[in-house]
Amino acid sequence: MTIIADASSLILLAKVSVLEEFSRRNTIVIPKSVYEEVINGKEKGRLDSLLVENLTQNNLLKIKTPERRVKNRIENLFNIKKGELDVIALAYKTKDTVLSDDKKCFNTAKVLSIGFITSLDVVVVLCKKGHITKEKLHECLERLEEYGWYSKNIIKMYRGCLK
Amino acid sequence: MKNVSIRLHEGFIKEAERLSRFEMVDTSAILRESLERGLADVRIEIAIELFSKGKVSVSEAADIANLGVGEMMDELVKRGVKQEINIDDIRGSLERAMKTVK
Repeated sequence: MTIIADASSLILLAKVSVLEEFSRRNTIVIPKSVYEEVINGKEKGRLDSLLVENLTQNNLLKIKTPERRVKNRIENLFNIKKGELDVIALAYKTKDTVLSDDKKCFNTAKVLSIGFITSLDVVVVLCKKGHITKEKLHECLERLEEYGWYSKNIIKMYRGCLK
Repeated sequence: MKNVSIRLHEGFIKEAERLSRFEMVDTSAILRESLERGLADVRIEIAIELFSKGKVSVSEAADIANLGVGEMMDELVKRGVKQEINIDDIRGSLERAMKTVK
């Protein structure tokens, strides 16, 4: 199955050092706009930018461009723009799963009946399927909690998934 | 460069004149630099406000702030700005991930 990812999820998964493992095991597609949004930080030496560039060069992240017509229709209906718009436009055509940690993006996916997952789901599933250890999962959740993108309550709920 | 005329508080101009003497540059150079730096802050403030109200995505906010998405995310968490995501928002995503993620 193909997963279409946005910049927020690539950055969060890079932050907890599981993006490479995840992309080796799954078919990940990113729109060109998402690639550029993440690569933007390369000059400042951001590790997420360097990693995404490397994974793209090694074809572990595949770049695709959505159809202009589909993009326009979704943009007009939902007022969503930039990388998130391209992610939704790609998934709308293919019915693939969207990977996003942006509320506006996954809410749009929901309205369009496109399945979505978050980076929290990815780290938990990688652990449940034995690709990362429980210790690594706890470390990931700790780092995500410390970073502060998600509330403590949400992280607590994901911690409970493994009990 | 383009000329514009703006009304500024007297204290702001006096401060710019004082700094221009220290730096031995035109007052206009100090004012220009102050406005440019201020604009960068204003961009970020507007981006954060729109994001926190759910009006823009993180990529749109980054575009408004003229930052990369990673930098924008860092800026948001630094300021304690969170999307209001509750359990209902992401209900079913873990089950879906179990089927989708290898």
